[in-house]
Amino acid sequence: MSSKNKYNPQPESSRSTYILGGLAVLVIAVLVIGGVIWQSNRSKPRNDGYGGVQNSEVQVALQADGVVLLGKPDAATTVDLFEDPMCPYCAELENKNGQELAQSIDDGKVAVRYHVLNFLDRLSASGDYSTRAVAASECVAETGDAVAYSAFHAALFSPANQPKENGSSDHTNEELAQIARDAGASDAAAQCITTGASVEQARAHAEAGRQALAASGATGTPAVVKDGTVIDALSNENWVSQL
Amino acid sequence: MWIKVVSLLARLSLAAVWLVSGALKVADPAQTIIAVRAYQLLPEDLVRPVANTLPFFEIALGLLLLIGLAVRATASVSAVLLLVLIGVIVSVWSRGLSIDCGCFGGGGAADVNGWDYAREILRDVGFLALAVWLIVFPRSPFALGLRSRTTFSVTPQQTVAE
Repeated sequence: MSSKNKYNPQPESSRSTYILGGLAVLVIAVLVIGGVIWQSNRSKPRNDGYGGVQNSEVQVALQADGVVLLGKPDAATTVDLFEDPMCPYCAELENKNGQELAQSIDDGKVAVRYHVLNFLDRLSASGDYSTRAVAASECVAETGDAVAYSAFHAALFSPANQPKENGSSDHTNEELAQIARDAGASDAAAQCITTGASVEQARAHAEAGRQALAASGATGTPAVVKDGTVIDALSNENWVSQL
Repeated sequence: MWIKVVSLLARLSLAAVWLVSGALKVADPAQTIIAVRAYQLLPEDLVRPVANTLPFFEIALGLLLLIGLAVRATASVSAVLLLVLIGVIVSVWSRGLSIDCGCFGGGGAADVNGWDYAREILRDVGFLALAVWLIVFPRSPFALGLRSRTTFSVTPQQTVAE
């Protein structure tokens, strides 16, 4: 014992203190290790490895109101999904539930009405990234290739591709077209993205989507709405299986 | 006598800081991942592991301080962690990024200015002061650890020493 203890006497070391201390360390260790595992499981991609939609019966169409409908014609239910290509929480949702949702779409359990919005344009380096990404989404949807649409949608929200809010750069139309090609989109879709042919209609569609989002009662993106009810998709990791 | 009281207050305050900060991060894993990524310091492969581990590390520090076990060691680790957190805020500020520090929940891009970063750093320096106090005076009443423990009573020996 150090000489300090001579001047600063402490309670005798006792067996009970060691037992209590050991127990406390054990409990804290279990809590921390268990917590980290639980948290990692809760936020990891569900159905990881499934990838995007692959069933050839799944159809994609750009509807008159600018919504992209992805699903089998006889899907059991339909949900509305609102997201902005710049929104990091939307990327988290896509990362966590995207593959699970793709499988549900393949299985005909659900069809998704994608409302791709552009209210985060102001946080993009180019000032109109979201709008151009909405346009790119519409270009791919218009080709009717559901597999490519699903893959392109996932690519838009992957950490490798999604531009950072207030970041120093985003993607040009040419780069968006390349992401679409890599996702399996046709030359026609890539051409449509590169020329920006859909940008003006995309702006109008995104504005319509913003109003639909406000009307749904959801407070922000991502928002999942089923039968007029907002689903708490970010906090409930089981929302896809519960549809 | 007053040193023990300050140590007790410092211990419980720092415990509360870690417990609240950790719990808020645990409650919203998506937000925590976004907050960690927003610093643009870690490679993408490390963002999720750090976001999933850091909150529970903070809670462990908070619990150890709360029960008063290994206070000097816990305070030392707390001080190191606070220095790292201050360092990354300075890094974000100097790189001109505009993000929410995600210190107590929150996170991601935000409209912040130098004054916000300065306030966050000052706050963390305050927490650091608590940790440093506990490194120097780790003993306080109502602590479990033998070398973290003391009583309010003034013993004759201490009177002699002083």
